[in-house]
Amino acid sequence: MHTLSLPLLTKELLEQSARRRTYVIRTLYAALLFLSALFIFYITTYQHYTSPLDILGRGREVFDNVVALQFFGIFMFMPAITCSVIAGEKERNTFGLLLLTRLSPTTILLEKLLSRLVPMLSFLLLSLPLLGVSYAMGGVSQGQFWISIWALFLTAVQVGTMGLACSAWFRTTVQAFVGTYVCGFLFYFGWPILTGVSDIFSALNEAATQLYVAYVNLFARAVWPFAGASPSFEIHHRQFTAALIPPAMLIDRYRVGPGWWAIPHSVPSMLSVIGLFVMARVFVVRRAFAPSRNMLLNVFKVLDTSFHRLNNNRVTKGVVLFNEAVVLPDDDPIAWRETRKKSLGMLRYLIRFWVATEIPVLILCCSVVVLGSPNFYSGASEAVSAVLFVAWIMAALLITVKSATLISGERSHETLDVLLATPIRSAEIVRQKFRGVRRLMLVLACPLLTIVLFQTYFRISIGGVTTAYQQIEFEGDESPVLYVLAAVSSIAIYLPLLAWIGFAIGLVIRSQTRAIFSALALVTTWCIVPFLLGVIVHEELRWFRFGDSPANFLLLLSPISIVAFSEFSDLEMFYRTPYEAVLVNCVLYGGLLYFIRNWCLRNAAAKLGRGECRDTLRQEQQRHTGFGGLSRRRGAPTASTP
Amino acid sequence: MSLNTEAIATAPVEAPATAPAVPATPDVVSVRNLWVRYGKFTAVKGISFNIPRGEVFGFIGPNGAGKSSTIRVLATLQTKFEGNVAINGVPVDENPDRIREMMGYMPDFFGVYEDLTAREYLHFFAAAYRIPRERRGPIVDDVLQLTDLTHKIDFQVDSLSRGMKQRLALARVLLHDPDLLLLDEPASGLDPRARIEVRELLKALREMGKTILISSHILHELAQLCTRIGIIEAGKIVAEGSLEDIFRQLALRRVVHVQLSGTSNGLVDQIRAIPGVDSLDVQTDRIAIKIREDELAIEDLHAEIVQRGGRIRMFQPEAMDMETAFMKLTEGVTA
Repeated sequence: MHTLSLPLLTKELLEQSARRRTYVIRTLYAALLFLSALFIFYITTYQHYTSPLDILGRGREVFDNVVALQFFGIFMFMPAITCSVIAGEKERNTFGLLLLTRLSPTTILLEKLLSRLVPMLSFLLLSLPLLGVSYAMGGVSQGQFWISIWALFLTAVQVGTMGLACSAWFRTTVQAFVGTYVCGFLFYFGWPILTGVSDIFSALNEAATQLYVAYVNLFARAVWPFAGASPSFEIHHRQFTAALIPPAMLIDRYRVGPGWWAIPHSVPSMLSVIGLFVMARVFVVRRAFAPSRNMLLNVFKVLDTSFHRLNNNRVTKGVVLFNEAVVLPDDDPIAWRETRKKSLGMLRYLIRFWVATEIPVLILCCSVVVLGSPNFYSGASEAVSAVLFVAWIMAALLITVKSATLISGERSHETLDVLLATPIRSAEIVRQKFRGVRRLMLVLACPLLTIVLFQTYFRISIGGVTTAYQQIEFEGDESPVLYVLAAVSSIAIYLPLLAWIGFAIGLVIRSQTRAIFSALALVTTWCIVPFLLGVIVHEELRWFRFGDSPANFLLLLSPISIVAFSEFSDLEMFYRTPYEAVLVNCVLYGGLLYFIRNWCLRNAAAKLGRGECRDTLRQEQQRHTGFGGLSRRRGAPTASTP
Repeated sequence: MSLNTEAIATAPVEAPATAPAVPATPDVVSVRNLWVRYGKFTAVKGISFNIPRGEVFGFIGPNGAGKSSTIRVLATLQTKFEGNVAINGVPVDENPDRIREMMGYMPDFFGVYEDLTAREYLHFFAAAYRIPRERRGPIVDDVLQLTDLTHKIDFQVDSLSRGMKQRLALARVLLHDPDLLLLDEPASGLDPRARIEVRELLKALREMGKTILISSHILHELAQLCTRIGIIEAGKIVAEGSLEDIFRQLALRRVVHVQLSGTSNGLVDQIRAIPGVDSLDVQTDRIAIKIREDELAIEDLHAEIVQRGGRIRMFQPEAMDMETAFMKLTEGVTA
């Protein structure tokens, strides 16, 4: 008799059940979900209606927001937990053994996918009591209920399959992780972004614009539970959006129908899942033993070849503007390797990277100058602001990942012990390791500063034509000087701060993958949670009002606050004290930077697991008093002998 | 064997400019009552041993016995330990910076900087060991010649075979001309040819007067190379000394297989009564006699049996090699 056996799924689930973090994460997730639901209930219903009879029929808002939270959870967690399913096996060199068993590649993929869907579905199941309560409150039809459940399930499967395909393609978990988020972003927002860009260049197309609005609205609904979705945007393009993206099924008009309605209308989504699974099936064998490659370096090398070919023509005759000679290490070997051998440390590649990031920014800013679409009141261009945020996200990601892998990468490649057995002092190892990051920071700061420069220009030029009323009304907080101060200080402090946070996490956590995930999770949480809490407290609870309380400064607990407020000219939040707010922000994060940097340098030896003489460490500290971390002159001795 | 013996004479004998003066102690390594704990797990349980200057000390033990932990303590990479550990009289826990100048450490794995060539790799570590820039070139050439890697100087490290990588790692530890080489399983995972090459290289280093602490599972190779060995099991040293000492120590309970043509009545009891015979086991075709060699030599046993009228058809003392010694001394348990 044939018995159903799922050995891989059993093994994966057993492993998950044996890990303490499974229960910790589940408990945290449940706690956050229930607290958020309680909060939503308070601000949407209980705050306004206290009588039980009044509450009846008002479960819809709670229901919608809980579902939105679960979508957010899926988009956040599912890529992270699926990206390692195959790539992790490849990293551990166990995937070959798995292929040698009687399990077919399809079975392996299915069992692996199920092993990640089970914990995600258990997360979704957590919301069942909440959905039940909101259903019991009334205002939610059975059809809406089932469609929402189906849309959540389908989204989890879709995102999971995308993670599976990326995991099958990429060689390492980190590559698969980044790949899944990039592919997911392009899958859900690629077309709207293209249409959005065409919008910026005034190549307006009605259908494209409406589609863009529909997508933006959809995204806002998924990530921002309090953003009320405006049906008028969505109805126009519901067919298209519902074709591939399950959350689009939740558009108001659809949810009026019976629950079974969702099944035929989600056929395109299901087909996309099948397509992604087929891709995973193709990749899983073909790329099972693909060698580990530095993809970025390979891209640069391909570019090298192409540029070389292009350069050899009658006009340029192979002219070389900047010749980076190959030299042997000087007195700082680690810094030499970081700046001469790493793809994001080598000068010529960094120049290319700078050109690749700077040119689009310049084009965009110049087009705004020509087209003249800055905001009339603030003078800032919202399109340029959006690009600034994208540039910030890119810079934060790159710097955090690079610095988190500085030490954990050496550990993963088993090269750290050999390095630690040399006489270079631990603090010096850290400093030299940072040279490459410092170069990268400078390159990434360029587009940010360019945008700030243009925004300042817009503010000055618009400021010259504002009415007297506006000048009085917004005096101080709209000042270009204030904007420049806030923007430049945040660039100067946040980039090294992100680098040192990433480095500190890489110093403590042994695995490279875990170090990257932890660093990104920490930075993301730190940026978003205090900011959202602060805004919620302001906007929804009204515990304190704009401009009349020092409690406003609590918003500065999130590093993105000052960037967002200055960019959208909302420094009025700190009425009469915008300069003080910028100063407090500088002191707060500058102090934090100083503390983390010093902690890393002081505890480098202990965290690296190496003995070091304390007296010379003190001397070392005295030698390196520079804040930027690289005050030592080249050629000076790296350590003193007692 | 392609080892360049000429290069041995030109090996880097110059000490780095920054090398500290080494105290003239007879023992390069001194370990006293060393304990290493990882949480509740104790990897090393109070071991003690010395390595005199110029000796090659073989550290033998099963997986998980505590060899690598001990070597990591000596390499200053294990900060939490108890006991007195010193190199050239300098305590490891008090002055690790100075220790790092005096030793070269080769771990049991070989992580590569995939982006470097062999030349860049060695120059990288030469700079890390603070060898003056003008001296790095000749020293790198010397160690490459010694390890027979000159022809691979501009190859990517990642592209070298495992044997070549091991030789490159040996070249690296020789760059700053350390007193002590700590080699953690240098021949593990190598094919026979590469293993022989590494062994010959180590012999050459021994002849150059280097003090070497080497751990390995390839027991017969250590027998050819080491002047002293320490056998470690479950975090404890079960035997330590020169090879002869250990063999003698084990041979004290040596088994001699004897086949007699027609055992007369009472001969077995007579043999059992010979002073120095520990026990006797009558098997189908032979008698296995366990003797205490310090009381009864093998030759004397032969004479005693003959004297008692025994007609010997076969007389075979059990052979004693490194693997037999290892198997006799260890029970296959881990810490």
